[in-house]
Amino acid sequence: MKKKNIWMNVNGEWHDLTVTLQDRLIDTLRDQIGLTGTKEGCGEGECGACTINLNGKAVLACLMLSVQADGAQVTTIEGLQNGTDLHPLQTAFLTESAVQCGYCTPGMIMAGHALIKQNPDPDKTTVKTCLANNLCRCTGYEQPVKAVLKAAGEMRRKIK
Amino acid sequence: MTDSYTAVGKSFQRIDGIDKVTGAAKYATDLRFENMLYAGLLRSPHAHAKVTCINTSAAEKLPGVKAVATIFDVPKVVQYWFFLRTEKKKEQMFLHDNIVRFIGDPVLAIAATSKEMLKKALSLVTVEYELLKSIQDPHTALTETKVNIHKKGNIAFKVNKEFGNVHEGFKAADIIVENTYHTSKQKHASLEPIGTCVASFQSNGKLTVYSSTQLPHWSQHYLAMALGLSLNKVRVIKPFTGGAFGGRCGVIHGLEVMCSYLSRQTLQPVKMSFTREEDFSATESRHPMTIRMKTGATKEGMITANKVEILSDTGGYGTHYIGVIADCMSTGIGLYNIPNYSFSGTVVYTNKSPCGALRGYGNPQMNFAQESQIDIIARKIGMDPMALKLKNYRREGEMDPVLNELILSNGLKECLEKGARSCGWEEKRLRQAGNDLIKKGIGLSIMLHGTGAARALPDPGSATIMINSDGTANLHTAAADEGQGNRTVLAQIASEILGIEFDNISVSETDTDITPLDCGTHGSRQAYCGGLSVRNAAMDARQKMLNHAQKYLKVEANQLIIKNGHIIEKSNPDNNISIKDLMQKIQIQDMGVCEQVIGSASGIAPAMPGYYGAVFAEVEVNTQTGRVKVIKLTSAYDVGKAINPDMVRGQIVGGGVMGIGFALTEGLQLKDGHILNPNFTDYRILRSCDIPEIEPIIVESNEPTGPFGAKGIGEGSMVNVASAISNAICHATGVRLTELSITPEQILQSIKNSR
Amino acid sequence: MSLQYNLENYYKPETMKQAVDLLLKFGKTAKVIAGGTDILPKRQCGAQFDTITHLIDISNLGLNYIKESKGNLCIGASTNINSLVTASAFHSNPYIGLIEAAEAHSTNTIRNQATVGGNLCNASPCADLALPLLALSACVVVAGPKGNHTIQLDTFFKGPNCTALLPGEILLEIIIPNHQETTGASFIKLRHHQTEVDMAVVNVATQLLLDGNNCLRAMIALGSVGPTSFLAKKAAGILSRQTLNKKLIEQAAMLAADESAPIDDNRATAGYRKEMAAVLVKNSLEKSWERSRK
Repeated sequence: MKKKNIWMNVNGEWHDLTVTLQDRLIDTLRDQIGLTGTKEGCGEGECGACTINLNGKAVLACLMLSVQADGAQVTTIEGLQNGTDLHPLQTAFLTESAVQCGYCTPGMIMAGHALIKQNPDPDKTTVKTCLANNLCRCTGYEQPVKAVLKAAGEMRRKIK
Repeated sequence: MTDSYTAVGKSFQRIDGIDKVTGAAKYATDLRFENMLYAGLLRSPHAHAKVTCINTSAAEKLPGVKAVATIFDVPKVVQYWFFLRTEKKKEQMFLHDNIVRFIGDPVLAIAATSKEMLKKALSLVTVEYELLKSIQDPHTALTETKVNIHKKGNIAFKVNKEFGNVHEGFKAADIIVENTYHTSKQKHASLEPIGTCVASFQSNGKLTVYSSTQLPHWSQHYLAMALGLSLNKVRVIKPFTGGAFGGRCGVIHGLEVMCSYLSRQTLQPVKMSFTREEDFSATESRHPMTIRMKTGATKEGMITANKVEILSDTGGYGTHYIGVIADCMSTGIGLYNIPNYSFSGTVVYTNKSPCGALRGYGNPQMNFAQESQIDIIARKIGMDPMALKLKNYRREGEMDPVLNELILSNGLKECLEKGARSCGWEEKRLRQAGNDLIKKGIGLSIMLHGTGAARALPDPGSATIMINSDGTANLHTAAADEGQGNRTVLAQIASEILGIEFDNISVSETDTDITPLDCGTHGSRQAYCGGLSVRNAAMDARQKMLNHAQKYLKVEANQLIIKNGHIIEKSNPDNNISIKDLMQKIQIQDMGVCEQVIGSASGIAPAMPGYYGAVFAEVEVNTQTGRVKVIKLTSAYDVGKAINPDMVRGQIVGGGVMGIGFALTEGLQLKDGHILNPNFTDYRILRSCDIPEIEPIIVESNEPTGPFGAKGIGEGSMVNVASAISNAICHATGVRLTELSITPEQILQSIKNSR
Repeated sequence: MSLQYNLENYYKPETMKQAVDLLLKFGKTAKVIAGGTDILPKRQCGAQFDTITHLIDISNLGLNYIKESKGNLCIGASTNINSLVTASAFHSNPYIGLIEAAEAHSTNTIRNQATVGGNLCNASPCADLALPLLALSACVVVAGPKGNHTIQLDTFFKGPNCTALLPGEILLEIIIPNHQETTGASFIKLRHHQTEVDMAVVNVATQLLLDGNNCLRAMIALGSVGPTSFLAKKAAGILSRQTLNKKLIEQAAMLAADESAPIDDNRATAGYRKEMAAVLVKNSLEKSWERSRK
């Protein structure tokens, strides 16, 4: 099977990787780098469990070949916390009871992460639109939406 | 009263939350082991056929192919744990033949060293089939005599029951309403696809299976039987699970048993993961039903008789079909005090993907039909549906004739009153709202669902609590948590009774080698049944602590209480000892004792209490397109006592959204046995931008048999949503829909027909 | 879950000539990849990609832009769909339909990856962006072995997942001619109950150039009701050079529905689609009319 060398910055660390052409970004992240926080729920871009940030934008790791991500800056759920300090989004998902089974949670948080970066003060409708690619079968979305709003507020407060 | 609790009634964060928000939580799909093989299934392309020949020689010649197992080697599990009760019944648990009964029925499994090798190997297998006539329509299954899907025929199960005298009941009625309802083949659609396990058979003869099962101990039983192993040689470990909703109620068709066979052949860990398409097309779904219902009532609003005939379609196999149809009966009869009630249920096999347990079991189907009937009667006699329900519901203190149990708590009236007040029911009901284009309506539906399955099924629950020498505690329970938060709730109950802070209680992994026998998570049972086990185990440990404290405090145990981590003499609070100091003394310091306090409990719950709920749905119907938008749900549920209110609200809101899906957007579509929508593009589950406002209301009726008064919630929150929405559509437009899921086209056609 | 292809190679050419040469060289075994959201998922609406072994990534060809040129608005083929929503160039009357279609397309996350050119080249009968672009009389610039040439979008779609692109040809750019501010436009998408994210049951874009209530030009584009997106020319024809009124709009809507040829599928029946085509065209025309007066 044809292989290619790529390099990629994942959560602040550069990786030299040898990938096959078949490898999607999600395969490389999970199977090669061992970052299994990024989940696969459908493999077709519909469920959003594999949402990561690529060059600052929310993208689906199952809809991208690893070779396409050559040279990219990738942030996954594992890259959010600072030592043992949780990211405000992670804290808000806990305090707002936005987590049930947790399988969609990493993707939800990464979608929220890209949103807040782009729009530090989103309203509820914006958050609902932003999370539209992240299916959740447990929570009914009410609490995850609240959690993203709360985290955005928290992050604004910190910057001030 | 709530204020006196330190842990119960408080919305603690879930104990596994940090693992989940950081990505550290390992789900079955994340597991990898050294030397692990990848397994996959070859599935039948035919709806009904006999497998005459399987040729795997080309595949087996590939260097990475390590083992093959076919349906000639491996039996299928075709029943549920009710059948573990007797040796005779156990024989019916398994089916070992060469027939495939739906498109996607597994024919063989291969284990290979890589996913690529596996894919290649599967493509090299050839299978010869002798095609058999397939039956797709359940009505055909009923009458067809020449084609038998199973040896015993196409009828899987029949039940007939009459309470009172229906004939007399209809005579006493002023109006009679008769309709036929149809419900869809809903799918669980948990975010982690159903169907991942790793089986590892070691040379010492022990099998370890990592499986996202809701029922670790029953899975252990099934696997032991299928492989001819004793229970001590089978260990089932449930990792983090990405939602279940009934879809993991046992072993999965073609999964754990196949993997275990492959691992036994190779003595290597074998992992199999279904794709989303396999989840949709080859794992269990909700039983579609045709429900014929005839209901009689007086013009004063007394329901005199109900006659129910159900045809349930379980597909090619069915593990839960008996339980599901029985649930239709018990929830239907239990909710209202209808003196004359006849129920006849027939379950048939068809050559479609199998059906099983899905949140609500048979209740959502039954509830849709019965709550539609009640709504029609209310319209016909000109009575507010809420008043009609209040007049006929089965109250606290009455007998449930199916369960033969006294109803000890029923907060339905409070659910109705609080919900109605909150959503403005009376005002909105009277108002003909909206314009010609957009019609607004509000509808109501109520429900009853049983908590657990005491005496209806083998329903054991157990717990062990070990108090550590520093005064912290470890709780061992197999109350499988698929995301509901059972483990957190159980820790709260233990904390409350032991007087040990919530943060100082750890809950074990779910592992049959470590955790005592538990029926698993089904039937909304864990806060109640699991809660009772933990409560009793904690009481046991507590008593033992008090007994030890007697020696140090020099008073009788019955004079002692536990408060804030201290054991205190009731009448003299200054005479006290901290749990920490006491445990240090008895476990380590006092070398004449050296005893750990261990509390344990095991058994069934004393009852199967019903929990109740009322949903008020507000909708807008576009009369040009037939498109419905749910604007708001007000969902009030009587949960006995909310041990963790945030988690209860999470169940109500999540169930509400799943209920909207059942009403309006979901359902597998089949053509000649092919599933047309095995993906999230075509099988629509709601997204964040689609959800209406949902107001959860918690009602606490204090169930006397429950731990701190608690009973269930998990399933009920979706049961009566579809009927409330359908009733709201009728309020808005005057048209009655009888088929789920409701399509825009049906609405438009019904509106036209009504003009 | 894994990739459907057995890829032999992946190329990321730096020049258009390299890209065209690669496409020519590998013929039917090669496919252009831009955002990848249509060609990477396993399930395809009708398209057969089993033969694909070479992917040609066009993201280094500088096709990510929205610019004005000679009075026209030009969109690079690999511009992502979210860029349309934020581009100021489209926030004026005639182009509102394009923004509405972009916002109706999939989800915010997918739109970060999915490209405008990809939505056209996938040639799905329900492609949202195709409709306002048809109504705007857009054309596409195509690069190929014989150089660049232009194709009217109206003749670009040949069937489900089938376009007028010949072997070795790549979509470069979409050109939207200038439209007067008195043009009213709208896009309407009918989805199933409750959902805000779904493929269309029927989607429609219309455009009306008005002088007072006199319609100088009308455009009606329909999707999901035939093998391709298309312009309902007969329907539009009865509006042109007429004084608009409600009745005339209703007539045009009925005529547009007559021009459609929907099929039954798991979203809706042909009959319902046809009926809804008339409803949506009527609603869209009324909306466009109202907007033209603002």
